[in-house]
Amino acid sequence: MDKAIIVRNLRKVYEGGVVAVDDVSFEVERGEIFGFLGPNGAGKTTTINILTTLIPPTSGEAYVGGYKVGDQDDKIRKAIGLVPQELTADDELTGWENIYLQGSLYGLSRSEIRREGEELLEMVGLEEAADRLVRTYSGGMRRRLELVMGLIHKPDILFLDEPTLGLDVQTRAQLWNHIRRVRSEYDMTIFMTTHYMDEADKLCDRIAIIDHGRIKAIGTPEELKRMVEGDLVIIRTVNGSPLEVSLDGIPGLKDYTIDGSEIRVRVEEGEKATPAIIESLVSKGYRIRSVELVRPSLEQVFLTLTGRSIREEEALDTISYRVMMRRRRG
Amino acid sequence: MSGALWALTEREIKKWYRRRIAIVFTFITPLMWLALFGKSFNLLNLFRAPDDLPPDIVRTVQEVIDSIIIRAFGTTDYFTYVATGMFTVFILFTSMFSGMSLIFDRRLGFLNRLLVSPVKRETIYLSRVLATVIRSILQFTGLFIIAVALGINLGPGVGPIHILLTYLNLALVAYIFSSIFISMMLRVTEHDTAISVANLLNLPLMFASNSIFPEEQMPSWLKTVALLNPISHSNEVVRTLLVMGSLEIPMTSLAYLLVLALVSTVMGLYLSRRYLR
Repeated sequence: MDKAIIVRNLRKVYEGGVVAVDDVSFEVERGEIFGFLGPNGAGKTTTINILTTLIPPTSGEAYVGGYKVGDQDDKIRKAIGLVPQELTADDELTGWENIYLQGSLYGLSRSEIRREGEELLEMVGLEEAADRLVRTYSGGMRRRLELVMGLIHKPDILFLDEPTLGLDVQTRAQLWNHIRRVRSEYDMTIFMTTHYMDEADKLCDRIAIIDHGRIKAIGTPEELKRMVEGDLVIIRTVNGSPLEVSLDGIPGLKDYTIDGSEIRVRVEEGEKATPAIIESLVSKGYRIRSVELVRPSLEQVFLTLTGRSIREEEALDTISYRVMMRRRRG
Repeated sequence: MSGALWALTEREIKKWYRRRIAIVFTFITPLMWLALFGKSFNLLNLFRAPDDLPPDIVRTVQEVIDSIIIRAFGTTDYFTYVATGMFTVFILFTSMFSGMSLIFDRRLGFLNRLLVSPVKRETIYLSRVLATVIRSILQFTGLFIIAVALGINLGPGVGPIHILLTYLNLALVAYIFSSIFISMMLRVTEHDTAISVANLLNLPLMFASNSIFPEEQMPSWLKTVALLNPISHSNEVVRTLLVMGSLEIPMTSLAYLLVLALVSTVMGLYLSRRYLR
């Protein structure tokens, strides 16, 4: 079996009848970064917990590194590494103490751990803090330590559960670089979950969009983005519903919808169409409150597939909608 | 995978000695029993021959009283009796909370880190037991020094070998208690549970033993409990070594403790494989 992970009709029903994972099937090639993208509670962590032998599936089967989950758990455990969502390094120990402990769980000798550890700590820029108690680390430092600990035994397959959760933009970008380097230097397969669109888009070779325990689509970021055609121009007016507007002659027009004071126009190229749309609105006496140009993005894909925005789940910045001109690049 | 066993044990020990305040607190309860109870309740002083009798009669009466007391307590100094009884109780107190770290590890997600690794579940369990034994024994040294400072009367002829055997006996007791208490916490997710279990059991286990009073004068039902209580058997061994200064350890008590250790090991290993996930 040359696939890194094979999952067939996986299902997990928790006590009390909550269906966390519902008939999920997918395959992960060796050496790729495969991402599970979905909102909180979509079943991402449950899937990771099954694949890392922490919980048994209710039905279906899964193979990790060629070994069957449930039957050959010991072999799977030797082949995988997990960087969990929670920060689980022991904060009463130092960085190095955590690394030694982690390495010894995999039967590594002290000198092996020292050698690997130094290399990994240098890679993530943590060598100076490594003798300090983890309690004194910042969130970003702890994430990096978690990564080092997950990698100390050079697993064939690395599981990353929301690796940049709660980090600021710069730290996230740094961590992405580390993950990319790990993949290329150690020739590793990486299975990761995220609810950040940009993270999935920038980091993953292939993405599965998961919602309510079901996979909605699988493909490369480009393939997924091709599912939604064209750009979306969203214009809000100050004075009423723009029902009288005529959009004939707008270049590359596909269709449009009007919802209250908002008009959503789907066009081939947003930059070219936007001025013409604004002109035709203004000529009918509408005054513009805001203009938004939405590129084909995973966010839009998610919206199309699930009928809602992943951001609604996160209740993030509603303010950003009021920004006069805003571009979202996918 | 003995490297993992030692690494996990080392973690427990490191975390323990870094919490110095907590170590100080572990001495407070046994110290109260020794210094306050043991010293104030020194009831054997009450049994004194009346001194208005002729001196040779006083001596004879006192000898009779002492012989009765020695038959029951093995010493005429009640403090020494209580102190040697508290040694094992102290081991119980330090072992009762040994399941706590497991509960915290479960809650904080650290346990999952161990469970996704190839380390054997039995190793996770045994490392906690081993750490508790080491911890208890090191802490006992502190208590032993306190007892000596408070004036414990060690029997004539108590030497290094007696003390070494006392340590081994107490290590055995720590092993029994910690393996039982850790087994009980394998599936528990609330640390309140561990505290409740400990609070429920600590005083009854201490009173239903010969730690504070000999079991001879107990009603038969209580005597039965005291005789099943491993604390009583450990006390027998400790008092033989330290109070009587004898190396003739009561074999039934030792055998009883060894059987308990064996049973708790088998149970703990079975339960950890089954429930540690």
